[in-house]
Amino acid sequence: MVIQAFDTPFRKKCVAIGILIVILFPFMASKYLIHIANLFAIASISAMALNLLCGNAGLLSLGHAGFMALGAYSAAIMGTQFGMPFFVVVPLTAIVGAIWGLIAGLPSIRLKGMYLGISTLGIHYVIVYVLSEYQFYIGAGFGIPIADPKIGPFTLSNEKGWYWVLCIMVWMCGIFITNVLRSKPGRAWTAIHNRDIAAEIMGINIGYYKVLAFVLSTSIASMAGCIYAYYTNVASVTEYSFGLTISYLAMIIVGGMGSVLGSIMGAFLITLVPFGLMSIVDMLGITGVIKEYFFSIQWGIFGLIIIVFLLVEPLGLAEIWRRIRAYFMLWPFRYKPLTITKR
Amino acid sequence: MQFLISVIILGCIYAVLAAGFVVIYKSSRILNFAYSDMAMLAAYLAVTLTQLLAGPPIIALSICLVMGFILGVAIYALVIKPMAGEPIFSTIIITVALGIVLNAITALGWGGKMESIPLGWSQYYLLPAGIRMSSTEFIIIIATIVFFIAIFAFYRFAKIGKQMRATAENALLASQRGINIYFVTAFAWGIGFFATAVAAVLIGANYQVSLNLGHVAIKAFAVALVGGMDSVEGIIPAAFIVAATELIASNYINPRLADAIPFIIMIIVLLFRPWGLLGTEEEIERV
Repeated sequence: MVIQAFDTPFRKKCVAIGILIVILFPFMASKYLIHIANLFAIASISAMALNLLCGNAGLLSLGHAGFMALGAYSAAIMGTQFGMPFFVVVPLTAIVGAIWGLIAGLPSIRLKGMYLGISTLGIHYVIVYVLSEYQFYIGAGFGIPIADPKIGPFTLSNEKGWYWVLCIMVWMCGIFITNVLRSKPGRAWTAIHNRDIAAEIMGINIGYYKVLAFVLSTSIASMAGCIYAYYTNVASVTEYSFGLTISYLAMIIVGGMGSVLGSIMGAFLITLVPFGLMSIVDMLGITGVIKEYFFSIQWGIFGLIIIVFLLVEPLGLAEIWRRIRAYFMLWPFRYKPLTITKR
Repeated sequence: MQFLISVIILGCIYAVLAAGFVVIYKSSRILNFAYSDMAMLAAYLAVTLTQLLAGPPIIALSICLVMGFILGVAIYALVIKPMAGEPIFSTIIITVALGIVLNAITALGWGGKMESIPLGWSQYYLLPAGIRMSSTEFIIIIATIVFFIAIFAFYRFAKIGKQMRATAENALLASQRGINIYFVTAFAWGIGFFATAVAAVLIGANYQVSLNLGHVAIKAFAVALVGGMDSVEGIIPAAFIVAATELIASNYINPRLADAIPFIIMIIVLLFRPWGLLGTEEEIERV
């Protein structure tokens, strides 16, 4: 038995370099860059959750931002109002998310395709409405403040501390989701995605697995929302608009549907785009209309990226990565040999 | 009574908005999420055209409607047609992305200024029973009635309207009978965007043209679903149901409920009658 990550010398080197970059990054980079990396880490957790639902189980969800808002507000209510500690709040938000996932998943037993998307969009609006009512009710106009979390004697307040915690979380989430996808539920989801009637004939309980996908995805999403709220120290309902759902969908489309690596790559690209554009605008010293409506331009570029990826490369960055890897593995040949002895 | 008038006005606007949505869905089976942004773009186009062209605003507004039609056909040809055969998920997302691009174009081109569309006739009338009605509201009601008569007549009598119905029924058989499906679908997209432009002009004349116009337009989804995605007739009752409940909720319960109510109704309808009030029952994909 070979550990897959270390099966060739080239892979060993790549993995080693990757880990080295991850470890050395906070010591080299500025605070701003670490902040971007943290945002990327949170986004990749959330994108993995969405990709599990949309890419693997094939259930269109347009309520992702709502589920993240749920997590953020659970953190605000339990952490700020009731004063619960961080490591109790995070699992509890996952449970809250799971309960709402059950509710959101129930229509998926009867509905399919775009009708399901619309019903999840409806759930998004309901959640956002309830939360904004709550925010208004307790008199927190700009959002509910959340204190920095304490883990034992440490307080997570600076970017560097968060960086380590988030690294571990992304790693754990990635491993967990990959494992789930390789075991029975993951196979069931793939079967349902490919052809649901055939899946049912093979004895897969479609309703159960669809709702399971929703429960798992929303619990991870609301956990990501909770972490994001802790990271920014505020839970504000304006942040969880439909636009956030779109940017997460953009991540999984650009990254590659149904691939954990794809979600991470998509999260990387989409998180980086606004900051990259911002630095370009600053560097060139552009002023006037472009600077004034920077947000719209950024959104427009988002939209263009999605359209181009869907038209040109529907399988996303993960597919490009696979092709590049195949190219270098087979080099200088173009095709695989006819007999393959080793995977 | 005054309340009833406002329900009717809102219902008319929702009906026209949802009509464009349904026409597009009916013939291409695509949920057009670019809808609300298209409405915004059309409204701003109308504003600019009325400012540029002298003479009665009806000329400028008709040019705007024709431009909406052409834009619909162009979008179908450039973006939607290449997506044929892709999974439903991709087509939905591509319309969402399209909406984002249109939104950005609008924000860049017009800078999000508040405008309003002049209809060249603004006056208030006092009707019996103490009702106040503005001329714009008359125009909205008349335009809606004319629009719906036109669209029913189009589906019933025009050759391409019949072809459109045939394509909606069974695209494969229709193409076997010599109907050019791509042309018909492109035409449907044109009509859909034309309807959006009509609705946008009406909204812009009655309320205001701003970057928030999309929020009104997005409720058309709810209306279309309540009425049945593939039924033009279902829109009319659905639009009035949604408008009435929304206004009742926002007037008597809580003003901030206005944005959520259409979607709550939609979820209720989806749970009990997923094909909508007058939609085709087999239409729905179920497991």
